[in-house]
Amino acid sequence: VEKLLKAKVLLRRSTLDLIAACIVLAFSIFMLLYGVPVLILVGYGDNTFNLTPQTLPYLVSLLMLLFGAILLRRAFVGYSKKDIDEPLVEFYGISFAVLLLCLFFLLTLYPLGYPISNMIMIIGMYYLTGGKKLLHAVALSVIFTIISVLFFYTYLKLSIPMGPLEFLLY
Amino acid sequence: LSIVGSFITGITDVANLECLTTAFFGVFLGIIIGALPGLTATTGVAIFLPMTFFMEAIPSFAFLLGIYCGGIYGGSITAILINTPGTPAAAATSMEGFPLAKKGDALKALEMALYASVVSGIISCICLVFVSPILARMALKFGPAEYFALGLLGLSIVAGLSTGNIVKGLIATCFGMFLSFIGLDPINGALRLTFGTYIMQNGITLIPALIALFAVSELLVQAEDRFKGIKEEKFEVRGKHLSFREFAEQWRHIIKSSLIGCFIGAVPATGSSVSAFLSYNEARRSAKHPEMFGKGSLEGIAAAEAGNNGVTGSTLIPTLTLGIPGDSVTAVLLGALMIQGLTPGPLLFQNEARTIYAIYGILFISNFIMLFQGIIGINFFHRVTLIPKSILQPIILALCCIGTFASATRQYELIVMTVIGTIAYFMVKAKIPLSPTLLAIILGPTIEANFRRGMMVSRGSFMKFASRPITATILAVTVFLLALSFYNEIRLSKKHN
Repeated sequence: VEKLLKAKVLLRRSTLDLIAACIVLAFSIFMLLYGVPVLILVGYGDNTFNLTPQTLPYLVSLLMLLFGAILLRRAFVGYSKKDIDEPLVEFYGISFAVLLLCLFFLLTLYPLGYPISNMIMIIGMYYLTGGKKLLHAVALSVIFTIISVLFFYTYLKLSIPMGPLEFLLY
Repeated sequence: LSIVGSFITGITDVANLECLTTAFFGVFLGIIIGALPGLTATTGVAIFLPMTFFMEAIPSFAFLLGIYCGGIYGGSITAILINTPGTPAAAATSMEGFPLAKKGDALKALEMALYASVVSGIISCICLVFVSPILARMALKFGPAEYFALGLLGLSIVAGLSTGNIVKGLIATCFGMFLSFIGLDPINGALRLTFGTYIMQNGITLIPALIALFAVSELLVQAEDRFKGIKEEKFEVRGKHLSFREFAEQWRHIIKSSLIGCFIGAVPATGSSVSAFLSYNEARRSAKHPEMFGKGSLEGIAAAEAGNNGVTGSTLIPTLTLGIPGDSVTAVLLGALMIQGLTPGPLLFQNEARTIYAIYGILFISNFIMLFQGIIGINFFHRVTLIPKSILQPIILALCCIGTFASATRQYELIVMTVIGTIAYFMVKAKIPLSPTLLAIILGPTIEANFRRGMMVSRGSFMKFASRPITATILAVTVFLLALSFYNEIRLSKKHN
């Protein structure tokens, strides 16, 4: 696991710009050809003085296409220089692990309930960020969860899913 | 006289236990967040914004404005002690503060930063009190065309100035505009980009978006520090106290830098970093001992800190009067106003005058709370940087998740947070600024609604729409500023090559 967290991808700044420009171009072309004409429905009476709910999205798509093209050109110039002093951008596995934790919380919030889901997420994050003591991790997760349940559930009366621990509240 | 009266009303309105307590906690949290490298006032306000949903409007602003003021000042603590600015705005402070701390005068540097911050914060607040009603009165004459032009000006300035790469800023703006299109069309109520789902009709709600942009992305970037070999330094606050004479000698710089801060803050999108560096450079230019700059000059610390805190009140001028945020943190505060059911703009001064007065009062009082906490906690606040990241980051992640969920108690908000947080992380890596995206999410609906309303009034004629004197002037300024930004960028890139 540690190896996966430490694993990194190194990209030249211009390579990253090139990728970003391609994504921007692809996104704007998608919007122009599919997103705006298909996913924005113009109903009867929606056209006033040639302005519809599609007008501004079309305009923004065109602008994005233009800026994407400029970025692509600039990135390509930088890329073709092959400058050995060019800064490198690092992507570590740990960031994706944190994202997975967010995803875990999102998916288990209702089935496991907030307290359990939150405690697992905190313990996971504790280890991801270099914590080593299980006792500290458990204490941190329990204390934070109790405080947040008291604040959001008891004080603010928010309907937070409690999952299997629902009985504790009665 | 009525302006002074409104200011006094504001102070009396917030002089109660609830407001003072929330402001006290806000300032405290703000200083701690500001002192933590990597966390800014914007992140702090974004993380704690969900806690204010269920508060009344005035205490919630007391809390958030407290975090704002404290956060801007807190950045100077680590800038002085370990040469790691807690916020980008404190980078200028570290240029003088750290050398002074290395000489053994850390206490003097910290006190100078605190007093300069408080004085400039108060001056900025007074500026807000006097300028905003005048601007609001002028803005009452604005119609949809003027609001459209103002929104466009705000977005283009943010895109142009918030980064060294204007194209990336503009791409970020377009992305934010797309996010603002999702959901119901503001004029006809037509469904847009919902992919046929019911849940997406709500559009991209503000809280998950801003937590994702400013907190989740930062968390993902900071998680990587574990493998970058960044060591946590230990340090002590040592040296003599700042004497009254030493403080009094800096009055000229503090006042001048505060005024620079007030002016810069009132211009949408420039923010505290620009102001701090401008003030610092001006102080160096006019200093009695310019040779001391870079070696631990008190003049430099006073100017940089007065410059960066000088924006705290004035950034609220365009935010409150026109609904156009002065910088990213006021964009988040703008969201807080909207959550409380208040619509920023000139009508706010007519319909919710007491709330506006209370905001004046809170900002004024927050500076005194900051002074009090700064004096008491000068030996304590820097210790927060010693809290291990393995304790701090799980708490921040958990706060982001529960805060996002609490904003609407739906899973949808968590999905939005995770998706936008992932995109924001890649944007940070690609050096695409995040502030334009947030501003576009906030201003997008206003710009579109006013554009279409204005075009209806002018019966579909864009020339008629754009030829109103104020609209034409603002649009001309927008085009000029964008052209200037492009020109500067091309010039700099040629020079660099």
